[in-house]
Amino acid sequence: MTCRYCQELLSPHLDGVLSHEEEQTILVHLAQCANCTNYLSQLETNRQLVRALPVAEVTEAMEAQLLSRVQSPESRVQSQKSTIYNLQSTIRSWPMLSFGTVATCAASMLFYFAMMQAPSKVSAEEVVASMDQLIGTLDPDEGEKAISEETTDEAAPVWQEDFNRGFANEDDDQN
Amino acid sequence: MLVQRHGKAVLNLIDKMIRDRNIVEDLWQETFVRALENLHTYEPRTPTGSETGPSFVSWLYRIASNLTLDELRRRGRWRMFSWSALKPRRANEPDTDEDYDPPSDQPDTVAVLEARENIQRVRQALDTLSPEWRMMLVMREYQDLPYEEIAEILNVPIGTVRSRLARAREQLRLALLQTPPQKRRAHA
Repeated sequence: MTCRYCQELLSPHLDGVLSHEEEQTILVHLAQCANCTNYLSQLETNRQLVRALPVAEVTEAMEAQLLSRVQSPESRVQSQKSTIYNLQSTIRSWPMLSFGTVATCAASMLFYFAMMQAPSKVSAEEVVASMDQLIGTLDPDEGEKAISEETTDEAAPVWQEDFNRGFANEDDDQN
Repeated sequence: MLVQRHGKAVLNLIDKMIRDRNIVEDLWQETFVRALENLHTYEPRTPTGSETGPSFVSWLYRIASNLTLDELRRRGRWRMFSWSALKPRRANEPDTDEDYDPPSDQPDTVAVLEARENIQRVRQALDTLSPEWRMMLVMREYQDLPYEEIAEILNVPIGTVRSRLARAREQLRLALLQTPPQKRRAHA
């Protein structure tokens, strides 16, 4: 095994993800190579240095700021929640809506069929008698009077009066 | 509940990628807002452990890592340095930048100074890595995530995780060698 190949495997070796065979080969090489052993030592030291970086803590101010952002009316989370809530409430009220719709339809259908199955039982004699009664209520004299008034109005329209007045004016001018 | 359980882990993932505390907090907040918005799209892993979907933590890490990598790509690495630390401070200005160490009444011991220097060294060395390599290294070294989970979060094959981690470690090693720790003499 070359040192270059060994150093490529030292990173996964550090993480313990090498196969058993690779692991054995590495250990054999490390036992006889000071450079690679030194390289592994540097990797381990660097790992400790990275792990020694200070831990960042979530402050109360950060949590409060996040909470206010999520709960604000402009928040997409809030609007999404309200949309989901509206949808849920609609789904919850759906049985009531559907019950109301079905009840209205059933009542309409019942009324319709009741009207179809119950025709008016009126005999022909009754119809004739009611028609006679209706005609009897009409006064024939008043009917003729109304027709003659209409004829008079039509016989002397307004334009004819104007026309006659025009001829009268011409006669006055000639005189 | 979600924040209490996973808030710290998500914060530390972002915090080790970006040094500016304001950006870190913004991304942390955005991660949880996005998670709450897209909670209905999360498909939980089946009880049998089949490969149907990521675990919830992985799903949360994926959101955080995508936001962080997008931010790093958008702004560029050079802007991730905290410029506020270089600004002259006013007398009444509160200490909001974590990079700024307020003077202590107690004299610093050698160990404390070395620890602070080490943090700066490691931070600077991490900054030399590409965002993708840095993310993998932080996930592995700091978050102690297994290869499978890193692959799942970053949506890459396990072989890619293994090879990129090796390169990232080599890059970090070279960067740290360029800035060796200063030798201090202990005060008598």
